[in-house]
Amino acid sequence: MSRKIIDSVLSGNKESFRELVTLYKDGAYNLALSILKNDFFAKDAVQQAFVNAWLNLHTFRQDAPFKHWFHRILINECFTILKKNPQVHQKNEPTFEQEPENISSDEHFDDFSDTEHLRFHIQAALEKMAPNYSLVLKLFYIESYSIKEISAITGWSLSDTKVKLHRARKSMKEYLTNTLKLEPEALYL
Amino acid sequence: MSKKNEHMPLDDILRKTLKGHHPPVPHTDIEDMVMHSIAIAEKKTLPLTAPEALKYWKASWFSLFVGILALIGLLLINPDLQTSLPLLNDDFLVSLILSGCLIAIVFQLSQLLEMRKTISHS
Repeated sequence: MSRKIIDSVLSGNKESFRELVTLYKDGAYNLALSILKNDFFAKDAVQQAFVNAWLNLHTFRQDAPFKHWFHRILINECFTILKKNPQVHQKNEPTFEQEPENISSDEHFDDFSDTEHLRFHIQAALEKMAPNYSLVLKLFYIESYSIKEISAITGWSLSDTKVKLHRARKSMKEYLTNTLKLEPEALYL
Repeated sequence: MSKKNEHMPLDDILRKTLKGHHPPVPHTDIEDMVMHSIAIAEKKTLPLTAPEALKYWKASWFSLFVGILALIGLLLINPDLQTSLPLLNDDFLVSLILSGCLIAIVFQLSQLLEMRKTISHS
């Protein structure tokens, strides 16, 4: 689908690019948010990444999916913003949906099939995690990239990517165990 | 309270819960913002159109002509200035102005050559 749209954009139909933005904006915003932890800067990064993608679309070799190429641009943009504004994380605002009804954080959690409940706490953990950890978890679990693909997109080495993913899982386990008041052995890596 | 799953691998939970889950971008029309930014970026990166280039072409010739006239005028008013080139002689300020005029003329000429290419290509 992306290929068709890209061909249309390259043949001069600028408005087709809007379809690409619609297709990838939500995923892009969530990835940007995992690095920048700030709604305003995340939207800014997404916007700039799309503009950069549009300006460089003629250099895109269609031997890999557009999503991979675009995510590389986006992640670079996010880290550039982070470098320029090291205070970004301090301007944090709530960004995700409200806590689902009938969920009490005091309650002992024991139903792993309650996806909505779990997702809420996992998203909350992702917001609090270090940028590299939440980024690697989102790339691996939400975008379903392989370790090799994550390494290519982020520019980290393969071993570094594996280490980051392991540490991110460990950090997520600690957060969920504490927040959901689980027994230490209830979740394992 | 019944315990439906007592032990669970985190990997399974994250896969089951997160795969493809993208909360939507809140309260923003990103498409319009991007298309607007693209329109601005496009304007900045596009080369001059032929009518624009022609306009600058005429303006540049005019400013070049005025520059050369000013230079000749300066030299006619005070013939001593002819000896004040090159730089770093007694009257440094005057030679600086004269050298600046010459550099501006050379720059203007190079711009004119560039514009001529644009006009002839279109």
